[in-house]
Amino acid sequence: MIIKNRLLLHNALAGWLFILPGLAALTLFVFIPAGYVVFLSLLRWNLIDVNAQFVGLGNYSHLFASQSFQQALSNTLILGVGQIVILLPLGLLLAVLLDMGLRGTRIYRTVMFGPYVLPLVASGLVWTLLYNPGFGLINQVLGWAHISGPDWLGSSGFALLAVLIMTVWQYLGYYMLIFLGGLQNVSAVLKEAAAIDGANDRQTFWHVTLPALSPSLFFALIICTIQAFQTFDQVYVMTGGGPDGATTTLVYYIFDEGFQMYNIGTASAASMVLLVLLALLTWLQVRLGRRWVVEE
Amino acid sequence: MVAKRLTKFSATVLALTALLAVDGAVQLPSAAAMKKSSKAPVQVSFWYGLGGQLGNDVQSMVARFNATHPGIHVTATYQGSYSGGGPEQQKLLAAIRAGDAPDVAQMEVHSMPVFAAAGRLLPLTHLMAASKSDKPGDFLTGMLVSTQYKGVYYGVPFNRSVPVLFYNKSMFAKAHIASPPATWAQVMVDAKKLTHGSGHSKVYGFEPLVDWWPWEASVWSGGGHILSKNLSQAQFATPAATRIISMEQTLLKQGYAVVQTGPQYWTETTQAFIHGQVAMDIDSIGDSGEVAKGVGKSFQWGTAMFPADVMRAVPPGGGDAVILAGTPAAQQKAAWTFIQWWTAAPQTIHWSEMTGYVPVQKSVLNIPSYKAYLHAHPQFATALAELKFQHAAPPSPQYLSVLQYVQNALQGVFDLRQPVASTMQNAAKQADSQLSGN
Repeated sequence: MIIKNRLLLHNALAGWLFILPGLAALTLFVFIPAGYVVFLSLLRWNLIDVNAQFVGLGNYSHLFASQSFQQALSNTLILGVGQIVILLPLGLLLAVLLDMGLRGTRIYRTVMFGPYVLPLVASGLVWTLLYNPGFGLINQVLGWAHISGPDWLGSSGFALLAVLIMTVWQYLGYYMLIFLGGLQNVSAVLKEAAAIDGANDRQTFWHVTLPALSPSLFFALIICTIQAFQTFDQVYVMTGGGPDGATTTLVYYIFDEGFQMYNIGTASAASMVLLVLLALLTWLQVRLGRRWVVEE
Repeated sequence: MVAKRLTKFSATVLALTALLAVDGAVQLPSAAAMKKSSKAPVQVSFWYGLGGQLGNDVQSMVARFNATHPGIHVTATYQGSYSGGGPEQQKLLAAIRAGDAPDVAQMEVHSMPVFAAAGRLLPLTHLMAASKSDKPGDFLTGMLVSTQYKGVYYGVPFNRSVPVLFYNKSMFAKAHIASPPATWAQVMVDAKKLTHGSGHSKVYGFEPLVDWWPWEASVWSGGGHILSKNLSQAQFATPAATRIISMEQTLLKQGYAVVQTGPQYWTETTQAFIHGQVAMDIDSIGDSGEVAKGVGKSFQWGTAMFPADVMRAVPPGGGDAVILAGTPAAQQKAAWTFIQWWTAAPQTIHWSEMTGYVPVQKSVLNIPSYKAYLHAHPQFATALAELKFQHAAPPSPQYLSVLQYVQNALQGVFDLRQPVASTMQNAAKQADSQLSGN
């Protein structure tokens, strides 16, 4: 018994030893800073004042009463839903097309994946030029069709849509590749069996391919949600959160509060809200995912 | 072997000669200075926030200082834009918190209260009083409105500007308008006369700059106030404070004015004037170099003072030089030497002519070569005349936050054509919440 316990202890110690470097790094760079952010969220402080004022949950109540925060939250949700609704089906469609083994597949694959390799800031700059109401390519093309293009980044109705379109362009190749990898892993035997059972292509796709692809879909859904909630670079470059907050996302709001207005407490509180929101969404997706994700 | 050494020696001498020839302004340290410098020079770190050509200009000035001050070595580092809340300030915030702040920094004029109120800047009043060239009375009238907090000087004018009206003289002549508008009422009349054409070739009479900086001028000029005297309440939504932006919006709605939207709005405003798409615009005198270069000989242009309404008032713009609190005594002394050198007449003139920022010392006005320069570049005479109308922005440590709300509201008014009164009232409500801490 004693020997068995010792052995267990030894194994447990070995296990801890193996994860120790990772755990130490996580503690230093994630857990401690996150704990510090929780502490900061209870203060009214600009980081440099000698005295920080403890306000309890005051920053949180300020947040939920704040019109700008509500707008940032709503913009983030719109971007999130927009990205999921457009990126995932479109990525899947492209992946299915590329999986058919048509001519030029490799070229298409490279071209579609290209934007993902570009830094978001560079893409943002290019799209700012494309959207320019005076000389931008998009309005020029619309002009050929006698359509007067809008001021894409300068109007409240179009600015968020413009950011969404650019984001879809940037990430489409990434989701396409995830789905393509998933499709190429779908067992040919299953497809053959379905064909022998008399299933047509559509039935095979819906009842064999798609369930087999569910782990990829699930992964893409979670990543897409997180990515949407972290939207910052393109907003920083293309709109600066404007006009009048029309494209301010949660992360941009945090940046604005923290580093433009020096409200470190409010920015930290908003960061905590973002963390809780993402954790909740991911938990919800995992729970729901259990119902439809088919793990092999 | 000897020949090879000689060749090496000659090459070194040639390279050094070439280097000196490139920058004729570089002065060799005197023998006495060389002797003094047998000790290691005092190292001074200097953070600035001017990129591109302006950044090169800063570096060339610093190189001149280092070459003529063997006992001091200033290391100037670009830290991203110095604008209020810009990357340089963000890094400054982090560096102060980490206890690793630079000795000297360029500070946007509206940001002083945040850092001064926190006790992070070295008071300069006693140094200025004892200075041979940087006494408060040595600076051009109005220059020091942004450099003090609660009666104590914390900064010295560094790269300073004011907003002015740029106008296309050729278009004014065509429209038979003899002089640029001196008042907002006149802007309204002239903008209509100057607007012509349609579609892509339409030329607009006026182009406001959608930015809080000229907005400050519009609040004061209309007879309004930005914050209450005790700095606890926003007062910029009153009819007087919104009078001028209402006029600008009217021009916009009637099709006599145009605004630039998006994050590049400032650059695009300047570019629209350069390309003759607008007859008048509000811009910084600091951009006059870019305008001169961009316009070339395409048309005649000039500057006029920011139009007056009930009164004439403009905000200071640009940056001041500050010394960070906690800088060791030797570095403080060296940093102060550097700042005084920068503001002295020869340097402030050189800096102004090189960049478009205004010179800061009164003494420059008596220097014949600068008088000749002003004669050849009358746009700077406008800016210099305007300096005395500079008003201090409200010295609240919360002011940068207030300006963020204002900037959003201005985008609402100009980009989205929202009603002026309700939009500004909404911004004032947000500002009040910030000021009261609720």
